[in-house]
Order: sequence, then structure tokens, then C-alpha cells
Amino acid sequence: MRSSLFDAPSADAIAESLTARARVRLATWSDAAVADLLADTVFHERKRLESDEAPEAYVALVDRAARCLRPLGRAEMDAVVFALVDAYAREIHNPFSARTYGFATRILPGALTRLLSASRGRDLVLGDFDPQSRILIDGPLDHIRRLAEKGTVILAPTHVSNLDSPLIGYALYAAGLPPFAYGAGLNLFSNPAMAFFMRRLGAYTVDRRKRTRLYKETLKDYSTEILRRRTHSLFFPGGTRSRSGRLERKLKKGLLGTGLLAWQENLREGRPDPDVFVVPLTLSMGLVLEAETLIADSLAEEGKQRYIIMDDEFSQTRTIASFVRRYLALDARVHVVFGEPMDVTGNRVDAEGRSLDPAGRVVDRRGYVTDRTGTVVFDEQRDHVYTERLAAHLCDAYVRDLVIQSTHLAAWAAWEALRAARPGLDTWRLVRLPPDQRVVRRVDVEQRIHAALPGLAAYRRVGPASAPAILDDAIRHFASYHRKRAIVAEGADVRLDCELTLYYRNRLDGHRMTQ
Amino acid sequence: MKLGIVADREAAETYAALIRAAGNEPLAWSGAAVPDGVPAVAQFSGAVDLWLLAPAPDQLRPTLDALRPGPADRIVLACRGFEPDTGMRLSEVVEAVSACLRVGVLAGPILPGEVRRRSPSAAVCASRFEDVAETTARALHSPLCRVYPSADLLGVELSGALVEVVSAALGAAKGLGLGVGTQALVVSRGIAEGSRLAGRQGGDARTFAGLAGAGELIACLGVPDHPGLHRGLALARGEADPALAALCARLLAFERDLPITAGVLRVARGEVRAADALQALLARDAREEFEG
Repeated sequence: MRSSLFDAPSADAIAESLTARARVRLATWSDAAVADLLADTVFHERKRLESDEAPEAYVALVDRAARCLRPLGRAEMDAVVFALVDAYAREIHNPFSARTYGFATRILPGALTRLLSASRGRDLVLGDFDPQSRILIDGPLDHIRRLAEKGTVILAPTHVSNLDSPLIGYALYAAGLPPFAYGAGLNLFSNPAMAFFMRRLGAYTVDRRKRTRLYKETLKDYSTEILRRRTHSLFFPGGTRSRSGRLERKLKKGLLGTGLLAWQENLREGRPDPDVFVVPLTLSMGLVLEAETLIADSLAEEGKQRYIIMDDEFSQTRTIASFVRRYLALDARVHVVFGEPMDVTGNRVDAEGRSLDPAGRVVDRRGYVTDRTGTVVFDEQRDHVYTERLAAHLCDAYVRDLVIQSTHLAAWAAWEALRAARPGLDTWRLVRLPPDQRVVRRVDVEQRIHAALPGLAAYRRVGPASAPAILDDAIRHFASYHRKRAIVAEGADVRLDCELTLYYRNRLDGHRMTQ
Repeated sequence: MKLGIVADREAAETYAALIRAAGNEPLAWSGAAVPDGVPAVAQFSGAVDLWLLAPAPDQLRPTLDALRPGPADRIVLACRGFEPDTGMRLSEVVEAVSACLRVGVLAGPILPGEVRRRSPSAAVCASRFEDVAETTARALHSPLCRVYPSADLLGVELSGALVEVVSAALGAAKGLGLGVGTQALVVSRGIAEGSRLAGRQGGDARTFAGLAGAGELIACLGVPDHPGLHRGLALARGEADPALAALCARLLAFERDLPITAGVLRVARGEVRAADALQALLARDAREEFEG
């Protein structure tokens, strides 16, 4: 199965396409609207460039944009916009290398095995690591492979850790799926070796520090353009790692909506394989590498401002290696569940790529975007509602496909026991309880797990069957990696680290739990 | 523009008159009432620009099963309440049984007798899709009927359901022989209840004060044979009303702080007499008039 990444366009071609899109858009804008766009760019970029480094040519371009704010005429304003788009396009796009991909796929399983079983630490207990037995892939893979041949696939995963990307890369390879393009934060390119591979394996560069409208529009145009060119793409629709531990509930509609736009453009142009499909992907693991930093960030007032965390556990290679070794030493598994494929409005699709109504009848989805003569009608407001529906269906799939682990269930039960023991305290006060009050009776936790189990039959779950064994399993996991332990056994009680307990408990926030 | 109507005879004639007054062409589904002079068609898909459906809530699902709307269709629901068996909002039923996503709701005091007399009226059309609300406005808007578009689909649907309850409370007040002051009290506190209901559910708190709420209540006061008033008169006579009780229970599942609805529920279940329910409501402490 061949992805169009193998025929990836050059940076010149991409820059030309995105500039052409900007040209079409600007043709309908007033002078004042273009001036606003440039003012937005100058304001945000000058502020950013006070602390960030940038190529001289780019700084000069921002200065040129600033000069446009004095009336210099529409032609100059347009020229600056196109020059900025050209610069952004070249920064975003990275040339995929079939050679590097071939090399990586040949060495990946062996490298993963060696990496994860190498004797580097005193705590090492692993023998031979077999990725296939530890990274469990599930879902309608034949269906998805077929769709990847019929059209373009958008993969929309949950996101908790920076380890998700290599994990998904492996899962795609192991599932026999082609490589996917994906947006990677500029900070992830800081390691030269990592950057070398990422650039050549389908990663395009996303600089989240650039907050200008023009940059965001260019990024969306880039995504639309590569989807239109049949490049399978991966978006983390939550935008960033879940800080609270919750499954994604509010998705970013901007990139997600580019699938709908690409499909409409393909229809309008009469392309032979116009369809775009969306596949939810739910990652489940008992422990999360960056849990301590993420929940602290979620609880901190400045959490919302701190979109890019540069100094978390992922930035320390030794910590990653330690986490992976300790996690695997627990005989723990990572579950990668591909969900039911959908069309770009959220309807299920069959193996032929046809959309189905709720009764399973085939429907002609072109009617969503065409008038009675069959002509494609672009309507941004309508498309926003369609994309909201798609997002809602993705969120439902995440809940449905999550593989509930002992750590989630035990943390949920322990948190509920703590809340019941401290009635009237809100989440914030519970998290700030003094250490001597962070204790609940073990039997209370077990009872809550026991009561929840029948209701969880409707969901995916792994781990022991009985409540005491589930709690023990969770305690064993929590003891293996984090500096602080979410739950520790203390005789007839268990002691909680409230922040970590909350983090792992939150994973079940969207599930119907029986108290 | 062509519009397909599914409604009982009186409503179908009313909508056909409004559609013609707006310079458009009505068609009627052959599986329901076909007014004189309105062409009948067996299927709407591909034949009309907009479907105007006004079946009883329990008949919406079978109607959709028969008509099978698809992605290209636009539906406006001119019926109100919840699906009895599932408690779903009626727009949710459309999405649950079909691939039609472009759905709107029409609500407001459009009274058949007044349309026949060519007395102007008005309605609100709410949809998450601007295109649906605007198409409905173009389809019906004329000097005979003003149609206001709205994005608050949830608010208008909840308003339509609550109007049934508050109009029954008004009928009960009339049945007990109480005066216009009491009726004004029920209307104004009904509006407060509607604002709270819609606002707390994520809708627009102002919606109930518009045509879908206050407009309907004011109109029902002046229509002696209004079905809501009739239900209320029956409640005042001590007759239970299980369907009304189910509607109240569904609304209270959305929002518990609905005193009139809670009172009507007890009367409709036959648990208390209407006069006692009224006394219980009047015995409550008064709170700030516009408390959230």
C-alpha cells in the first residue's frame, strides 16, 4: 500500500500551492482586512521575536509587514502576505524520504527490542522484549487498510504523552498501514538525530509559538493541501497532551475541519479518489510518563498559558528509558485501539468507503455539500457544524475504545472514597489536603471498585477480575515509576497522592460509573 | 422554492397558505393529509428544498422511516415536545434515525384561524445551520407571517415543551376561576422558569421570552379552544393526565428548579388537587425576580 508521502511535493511546489490559496482568499478581502491581518502578524511576531531566535530574512519580512501598516498600497500588502505564506510553507513542509522510511521500517522492530531490553540500569529486569506482545493493536484493521487505498485517511488519536508519536508510528507499521504525515511541535526537532528522522518520516513542523492568524491559516491550508494530494495525515485533535488525564472532550476544529474542506475541493475538481475518512485511535496505558508534570500543570493557575512544556519528563532521555523499562518490567501492555472509520461528518463508513445512516443503509454523502444540481457549495458555517458533529463522535469513540486499566479504576475508586470521606470539599481543596488526611480505608476503595465492575462490562477493560486484586495491581504499578506514588497500601488503609490519584481517576471521567 | 408538508389537515392548510403567501410552492406528502389544491408526492427527497414536518411526537419516527430523509435534505420540525418512548428531543430523533443533519425547529403563535382571516402572525426558526433557518424564513416569511431565524435550537425545543406545561397551568388557573392577575403571574413566572431551563442547559436564556415561549403563552390566553388550556381545565376538574405528567418529568430531568412544572406534575399524576398545588406554589418564599 503506497501513501502519497512517497510522491511528496517539493517545498517549492507546496509554497506555490499555499501562496495560490492565499491569493484566492485575499482576492475577496478589503484593504482594511488585509491590513488587520498584517497588524496581527506584526504584533504577535514582534512580541515573540523578543525572546525567540529567527532567521534574519524572516525578521526582515516582519519589519516589511510593519512598514505596510503605514498606507503603502494594496499591492505591497498583498506581496508581504504572500512572502510570509511562502516562508511559513517552507518552514512547515519537510521532504519525506522513502529511503529513510525503508531503513526505519527495516530496523524499527529490532531497534525497539534492543532499546527496551538493553542492560543499562540497575533496575533492569527485562529479558527479550517483543513489541508485538507488549504493544497490542486492535480494531478493524482490514477495513482501514482498504479505506487507505480508496481515499485519504485522517488518524485522530488521544494524546497523553510525547511517547505517543513513536508508539503510533510503530502501530501503523505493525498494522500494515502506510506512513502518515503528522504535525510535530518545533520543540521536538531540537534533538538533531530525532529531527533527522522526523523530517524524513512524514513530520511537518508546527511552531505553536506563532500565534498569528496568518500562520494558523497557512497551517490549515497546508493540511488541506496534503490531504487533497492523498497524503494520509495524523492529527492529535485535542491539540496537546491531556493535562488533566481526561480523555479528550473538546477537540480543536481547525485542523479536523480540513478533511471536510479537502473532500469538497476534490469533489469540485472531479478527482478520481476524492474521499477522506477519519479513524479514531485510542491509546491506553496504565502509567503515563509525564503524569506528575501534566497534572501539576493542569491544577496550576498558569496551566492554561503553558501550552508547550519544555522541561517535563520527556526532556530527560534517562527518565524515558527508565519509565519504559520499569513499565515493561511490570508485564504491562500498551493498548492501541483503532476505532470504527467515519466520513468527515461523523457517519460510519463501510468497507467500500460508503457512508451509512444510523440504520446501516448506504447514503450518498455528497448531498451534505452539494445543491440540487450536484454542484459543490462551500459554506463555512455549515461545515463548522459538521465538524462539531465529527468531533463529538470522535470523543464518543475514545470513551468506547479506551482499555480501562487497574490504575484508572483504583484511582477512580480511591478518589471517590476520599470525596465521600470529606463531603463538601471541592476538587481543589481535596488536592490540597494535608498529608495526614489523604488516607482512606482500603475496604472502601475495594467496595467502590466492586460496585463499578458490572457497569464496566459495557467497556473494554484489562486486569484482574476481583476488586482486591485490581487494587493490588494498581498499587504495584504506581510503585514502579513515579517519584510520588498515587496509592500506597498502609495496613487497612491506603494513602493517596491526591494529584496523581486525580490524574489517573480522570481517565474515566466520561464513563458511566456506578457508585 | 418548493416545500413539502407533513401535518394534519388543519396545520397542512395553514402552512400551505403561508408558503403561498411567501411566493413559494407547497407539496404535501401522500401519506398524510393533502389539502385541496396542494399537489401530493410520495417522496420528498430531491423534490423539495425544505421539509416541514408536524406530526405528533410519537409519530415522528415512523414518518421519518417512511420518508427516509438523507444528506441532501433539510427538515424543519413544527411539532413540539419529546419523543414519548425515549424522552429524546425531536431534532435528536431525526439524527438518530436518518442521515439528515440539517434540521431546524419552527415555533411560535401561528394560529390556523388567524391565518385563515389573514391576520399577521410570527414564528421563530431555530437551527444550528444558518442555511436551514434562513431557508425557512425565505419559505414562510411574508406580510402574513414574520419568521425570525435563531441559532438556539436547544432553547427553542425546550421552550416548545415547556409551553405545553405552562399553558396547562394557565388552563388550571382559569378552571379554578382565578383572575387575570393570577394568569399574568403564571405567564411571567413561566418565562422565568423557561429562561432558567434553557440557560442552564446551554441554550440562550432569552429564548423563552421570545416567540417560542412568551409569544405562545400570550396567544393561548386569547384562544378559548387552545389545547393547553383544555388540558389545564381538565386538571382543575381533577382529571389526571399521564402524557402531561411524562412531559413534566422529562423537563424536570433536565432541570430540577422548575416549580410550576413540578406542581403540574403532581396534579397530572393525580397526587394533589390543582387548588392545593397552587397553594403550595404560593406558599413558597419569593426570591429575586431575575435570579438565575
